[in-house]
Amino acid sequence: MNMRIHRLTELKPEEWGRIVAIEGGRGLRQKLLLRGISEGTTIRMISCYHGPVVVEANRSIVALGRGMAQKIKVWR
Amino acid sequence: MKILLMGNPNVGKSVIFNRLTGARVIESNYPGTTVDYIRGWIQLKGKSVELVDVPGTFSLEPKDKAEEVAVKMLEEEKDAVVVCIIDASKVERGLYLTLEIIERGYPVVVALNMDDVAKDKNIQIDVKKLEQILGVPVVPTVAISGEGIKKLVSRIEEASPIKIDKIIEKAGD
Repeated sequence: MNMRIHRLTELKPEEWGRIVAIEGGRGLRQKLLLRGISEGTTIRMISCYHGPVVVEANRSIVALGRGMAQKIKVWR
Repeated sequence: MKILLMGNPNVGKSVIFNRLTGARVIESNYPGTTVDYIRGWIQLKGKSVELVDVPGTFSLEPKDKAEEVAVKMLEEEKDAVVVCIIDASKVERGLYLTLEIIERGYPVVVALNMDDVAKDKNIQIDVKKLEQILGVPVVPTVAISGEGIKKLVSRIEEASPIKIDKIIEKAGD
């Protein structure tokens, strides 16, 4: 399977990925960090088809807006 | 004197509030159940002390309405003692808020809530070391069963303002 960089919204439910970049300003990066999402963390997609994107990161479940989720780049 | 219960969303602030006051604040297993503050009274050494259940916040830079209420509450109560509640299974996230509150000069007591969940997940926390680094009382609690709540109350008066530089010095050890 070839690994490459995707947007977080492109992961399917139950797929894992490692965050390689968060394309946002200080505010967004801090907000995500405090919810357990930062570069290097592995996350598991739970739900992504409609509405908010729900992921598991660092033992907690976080729901993100689609706009925010698109700014997160994952390696899978 | 007033006591503020602060911490991240969904760590059990309202459960501890109910335990301490006997009130019946609505609690549920979703972040953001408390969006406004609630006041109650407790007896501390024979004196009646006001206790405030503050909505959960991740940092002191508010990003939404509930966080704004929390930060405003903290800024209005300059002489308050803050009980910082941290989810013991996600300590690193709670410490950010705790340090921000300590930095603003408030006396702080840390409650490591959901200690049973942390133990189930095989997370071991060196409470003594944490207490030594932070310089504030740290008490492991399990709010839903009431474990550690009495100890938490007894240590509230030990809280005193700590200089943030001292914590930075000790953190390297």
